[in-house]
Amino acid sequence: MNHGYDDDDDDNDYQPPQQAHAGPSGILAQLMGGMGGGMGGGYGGGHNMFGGFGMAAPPSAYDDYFKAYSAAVMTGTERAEVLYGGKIIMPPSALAKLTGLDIDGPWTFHLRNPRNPAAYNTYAGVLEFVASEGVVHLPAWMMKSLNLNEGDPIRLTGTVMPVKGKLVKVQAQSRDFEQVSDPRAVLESAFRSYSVITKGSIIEISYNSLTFEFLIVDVQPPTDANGGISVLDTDLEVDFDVPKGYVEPPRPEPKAIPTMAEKLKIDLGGTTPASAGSSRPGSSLGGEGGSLEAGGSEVFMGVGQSLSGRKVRGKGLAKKIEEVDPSSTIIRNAKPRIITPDSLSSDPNRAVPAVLSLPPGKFFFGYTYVPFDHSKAPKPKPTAEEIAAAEESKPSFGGEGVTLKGKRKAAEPASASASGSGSGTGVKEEKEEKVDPWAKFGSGSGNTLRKAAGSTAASAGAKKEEEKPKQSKPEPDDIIDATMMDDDDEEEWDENGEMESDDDEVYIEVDSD
Amino acid sequence: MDQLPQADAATIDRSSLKLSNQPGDKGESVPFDALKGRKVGDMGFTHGDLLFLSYKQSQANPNSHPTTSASSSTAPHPSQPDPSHPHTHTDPPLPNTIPLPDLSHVIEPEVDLYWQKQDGKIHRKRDTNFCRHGEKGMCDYCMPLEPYDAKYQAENQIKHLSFNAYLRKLMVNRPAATSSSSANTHLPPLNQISLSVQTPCPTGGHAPFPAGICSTCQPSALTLNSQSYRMVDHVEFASPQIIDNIISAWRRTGTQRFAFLMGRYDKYEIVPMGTKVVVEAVWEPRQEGELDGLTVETPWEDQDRVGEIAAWCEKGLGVVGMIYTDLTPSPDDITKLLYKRHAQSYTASSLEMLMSAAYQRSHPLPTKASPTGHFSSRFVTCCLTGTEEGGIDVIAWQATEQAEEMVRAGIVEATVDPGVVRVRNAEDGEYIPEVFYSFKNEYNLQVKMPAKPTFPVEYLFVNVTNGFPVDPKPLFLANDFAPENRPGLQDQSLELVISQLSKIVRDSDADVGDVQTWPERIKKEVGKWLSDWHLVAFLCMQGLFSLEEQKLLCRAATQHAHRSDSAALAHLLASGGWGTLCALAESSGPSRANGQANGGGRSAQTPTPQFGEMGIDSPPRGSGSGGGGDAIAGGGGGAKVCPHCTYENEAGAQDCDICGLPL
Repeated sequence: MNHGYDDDDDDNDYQPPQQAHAGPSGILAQLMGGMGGGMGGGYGGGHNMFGGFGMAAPPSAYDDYFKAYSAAVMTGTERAEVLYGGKIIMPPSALAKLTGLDIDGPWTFHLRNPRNPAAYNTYAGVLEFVASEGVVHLPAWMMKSLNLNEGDPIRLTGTVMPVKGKLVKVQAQSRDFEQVSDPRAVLESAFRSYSVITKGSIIEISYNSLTFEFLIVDVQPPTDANGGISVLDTDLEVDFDVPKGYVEPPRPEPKAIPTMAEKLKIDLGGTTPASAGSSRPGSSLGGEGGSLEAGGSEVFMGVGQSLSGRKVRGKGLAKKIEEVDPSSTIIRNAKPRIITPDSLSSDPNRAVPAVLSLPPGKFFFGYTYVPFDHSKAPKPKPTAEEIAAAEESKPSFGGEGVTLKGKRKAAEPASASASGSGSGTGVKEEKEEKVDPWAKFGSGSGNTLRKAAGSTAASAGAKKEEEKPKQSKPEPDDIIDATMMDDDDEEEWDENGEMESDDDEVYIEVDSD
Repeated sequence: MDQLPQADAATIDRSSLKLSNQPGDKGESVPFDALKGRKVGDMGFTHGDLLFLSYKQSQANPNSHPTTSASSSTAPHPSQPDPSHPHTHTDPPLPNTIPLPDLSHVIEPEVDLYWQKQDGKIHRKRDTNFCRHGEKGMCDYCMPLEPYDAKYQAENQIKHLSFNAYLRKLMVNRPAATSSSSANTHLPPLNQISLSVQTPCPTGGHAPFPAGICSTCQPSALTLNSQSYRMVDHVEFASPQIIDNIISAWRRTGTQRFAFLMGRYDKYEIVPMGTKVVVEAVWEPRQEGELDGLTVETPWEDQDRVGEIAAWCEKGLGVVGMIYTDLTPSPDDITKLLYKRHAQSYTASSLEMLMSAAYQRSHPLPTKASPTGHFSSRFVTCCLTGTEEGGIDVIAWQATEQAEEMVRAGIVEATVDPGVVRVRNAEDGEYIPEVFYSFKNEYNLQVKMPAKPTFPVEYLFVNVTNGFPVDPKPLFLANDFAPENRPGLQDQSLELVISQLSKIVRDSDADVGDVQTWPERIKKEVGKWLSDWHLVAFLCMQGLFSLEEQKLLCRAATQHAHRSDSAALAHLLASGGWGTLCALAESSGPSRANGQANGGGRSAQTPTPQFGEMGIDSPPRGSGSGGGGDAIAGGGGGAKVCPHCTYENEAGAQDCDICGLPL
């Protein structure tokens, strides 16, 4: 520990005039104190040369520079109030100086980092005067908040805390502190080792060998710019800010009011098989064969005797019983089967809604809600008026007429010209069309008829010839074709009749067709 | 020889057993007792001799064998039959000796008596298309129709025949009511189905049921079909306030509410020979509501008392049905309700249907048309549920007679699927008859399906229309008093009665304690306030009034509906019980009288007592604080009486001068 101190001492480019400064001023102070003189306004910028005339000097009369070391580098056993407290260890010379200046206790100091006094400053009390000369020991958090390395110079100015603290608002710097069962008590006991608390500093508290950091968010009552309050002999209230990194847990859903369904444990989807004791075996093809397979035991071990006197030995392993096809519907009726209308009409194993048996006087409405589906709702029947209106708007003959001739041109204008009177003209047209083909048939193409008459012997030949005229003259052949088809059909009938007498199988085929 | 005949051993009179060698009374007969200890040979019998045994029926239980008891009543000495009818004993019972149940004690509802007197025909006007006669004439086209005319039903979209029309339809097949009119009236047309095994078996051929069963004693299969008639055609709520009151409980708590309908039956002219239920009030029994259900006290403890009070109010007023809410706010928009009961889900769940049937069974309709003296029920079930638009509507229904019998026999049970009823599987010692339901299948054929294990609940459902009258004439005019059995929500208490009463009286210069000083206007208002079913029932149950005074109170409450009762209120106000009530009112709020004496009570009413009087949100407070509230109201003009120490402070004082407590 000491070597560090020495090193730091050497490295330090800033040489505070500790001895030179402390020596004479201390002596002078002692002298002055001894003289009992006090001077009122000794607010010198660090000079307390004239601090001690008459009455007790103002606390600011004490102003000194030290090397700052953390409390951890102190010799001796570690003490929690040193490591985690608001008080520092000062050298005995400081005590002499303070007493020499006759400054009123409790002594509190304004600690400043001389490199940037405005940014790094805090307040502290003094715990003991046991440090080496020219050195002060600070708790680690203080070193941190003053941005000091080991051995850095620090300026201490005596000060007085006029304001007694009432309330401190702290913010835990980690969420671990939430786990502490009684955070208030822990904090209150920790603050006992503080005499001053500075707003904005991050203090450390040891609890259960854990170190918790707290930011002093706010102090009440409000004080000067530095925000220090005295916590000696005060009833200090501790308020907690939301810990750093704390996320408000989502508000739990309001607990649903227990429903009857929950209380009575009604399972709305519950089902039971239609017939609990079904007589039909679940699988007709049980696993008996399987067991045989697995065993593979030799079932025929003995010796057989044939009539001829030959001895027949067992063949060894039993043959595997031929398995029934899985899709087979063979029903093993080892058990008696009871056939009821139930079992015949429906699958007895189908699920049926479970019984809802409630104690008398209980009504239950919490069934599964089925929303009303408008698309499935039956349409309201149209009224007579609506039907009439629909009739009116719909044209009665909107389609196209097709004549046998295929004279669409003639039909279209007729239907388009007068849809209302279309029926009359349409009939006329049809009559005219009908007249035409028959006239042609009579006059023109008699050859097809002749062929048809000649084709009684071979129907296949006639069919071939049918196709020819189709290509050339479609209209009249259509008609003739129909008559010919009739002839063909009759022939086939005859053929079938013959076949019927010949072969039964063929007959069956025909029948099935 | 000691083996006595076993058949009918229980019913015959053993001392009358006689043995004879001739049938009837001709031969010599020997009393059976005389044969004891003798041998066959001693008596001169040989093997193969034909002996005749005659006996008398035991007179102890004539009802068990009505056939013989009927004949025994006509013949004074059945053991010595009339010589002119020597074969009395061996004669089969004549059909007309089947005893008719004595139904003279059955008191039918007035509406049924009314319809029995009417011909019930549907009168038609002269048909302009077909009638070819004058105004005075009548032909096939304009002749009155029978009440059960199917075509008329179809045209007017009446789904069910009314009960009385149905009776007419059943009676039409009877021979004309001429000479056998008495037989017609006495032979009841209705037959109640029975689904339980008859024990013991009427044939007596085998052991009673669990041991043996035969085709005679086993119930026949039941085929469910939609009931062609309905006992009630319409439910009419005398005023919308009745419904509103029930919904208000749901509105405040979100839990369902149940009430029994108090009403009477009336003729319903819209349907031929129709019957409607006019609901005048409701009675809310003790119950526990929940979000998705409710529990009603079963059995209903106050039933008899409530029925009695209702009957005092008006003849024929009684329990006619039940109503309950099934309201669930829609999760999307809680100002609207879920449309739960529609064509695609269910109208009445299986559980409710069986409940309806069970309640109907406990309220049978007395009728002479049934051999048992009662048939089915007129008990209606109403459900307040959400409509398609998210509003509230009433659905009313009844369970069919088949449902009632199935519930009685215990062969059905509800399921978790509301649209389906289960037929139970028979347990040991049970017989559950086959149940079928018939419907038209997709090929439009009438088919039967076994109802095991389930059948649609619609087969048990009879729709009943409902509505409000065009010009309401409710029996009970006021609706301000708290309904019963709403602890915590709206408490009924004597303090509430007193505060309401004194509020009315306070509007005048009258003295609450002295009825004589009340002006006519106040009496009228008190009469109107009294015409509140909940108030009347509460006062009757309080024991403040004697029995006669209770009846008087009921009559006073409904005197506006009965001309003959115009003096009932005056009598009531002069009665002792009323005096007690007034004295209570006076003593519980002396400040009130004080304030009125100074004549300045009206202007200074604060909302606090009004809230109490309306029973809204704040249950009636104890008499002390109630008095305190009224003290503020009454103290506008005169001295303020401290509710704590009764010191009379000055009118403007805020705190009591003596005890320092706020006034």
